[in-house]
Amino acid sequence: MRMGFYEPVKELLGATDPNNTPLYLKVCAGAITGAVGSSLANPCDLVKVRMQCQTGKGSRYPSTANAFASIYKEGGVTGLWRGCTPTVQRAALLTAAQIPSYDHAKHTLIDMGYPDGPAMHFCCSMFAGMMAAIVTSPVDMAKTRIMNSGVGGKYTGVGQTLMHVVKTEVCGPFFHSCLFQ
Amino acid sequence: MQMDGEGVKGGKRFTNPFQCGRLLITEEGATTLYRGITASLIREVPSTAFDNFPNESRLYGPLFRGFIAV
Repeated sequence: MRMGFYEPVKELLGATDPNNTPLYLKVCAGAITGAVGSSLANPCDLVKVRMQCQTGKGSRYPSTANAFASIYKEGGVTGLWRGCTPTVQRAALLTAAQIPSYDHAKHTLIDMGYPDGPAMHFCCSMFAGMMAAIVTSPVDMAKTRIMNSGVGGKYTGVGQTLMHVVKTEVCGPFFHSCLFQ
Repeated sequence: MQMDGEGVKGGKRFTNPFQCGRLLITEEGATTLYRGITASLIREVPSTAFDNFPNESRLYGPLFRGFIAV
């Protein structure tokens, strides 16, 4: 979704000339496709997070179908979209970090005199990926925690979750999973 | 790792992704690394299809082009 509809959405926003597209249009197009795509996928994400976080014995959900069914039974359709806010924020931040870093890195390297080719695109992509992982790490963590706490759980919103983590566990956990993004 | 410190036992169990992976394999077996794979597949398979289909389909002519540009 995020990549596939990027170009069509960019054109819809009025960017018809690929060589002279303003950066903000690219960021907007990416944020829109990212937000729509990730919010559609939210129930699957929720089930994945819940299933991964249960320990081997005394499992909450014996199967994927069972997980979908019992989350639906507990909280209805909205229950399946628990954690949608951080999911959408994460997707928007991801694009907002990725596209400008790629763009900027590429132009900086071109200005420095490096040849514009696959090797350079590879390096710029890696840089963009790193920036995206660093930027999304806190909200990604809030997403995992919120999705795991049921309705009426300890965590209510992104800000509240982050404050709680900062207060009780200092700054360590934010970037814990940064390496595997 | 994002949930580390939330468990009933309390305290942190994981120091880095590699130690975390090793601990999970010794405690729960290698299959535990694929927990939640069904949900990931349900998510990723159509998602990847939509990542590649719209751009490729532009090659197929105005029929799909019109459908995508709606």
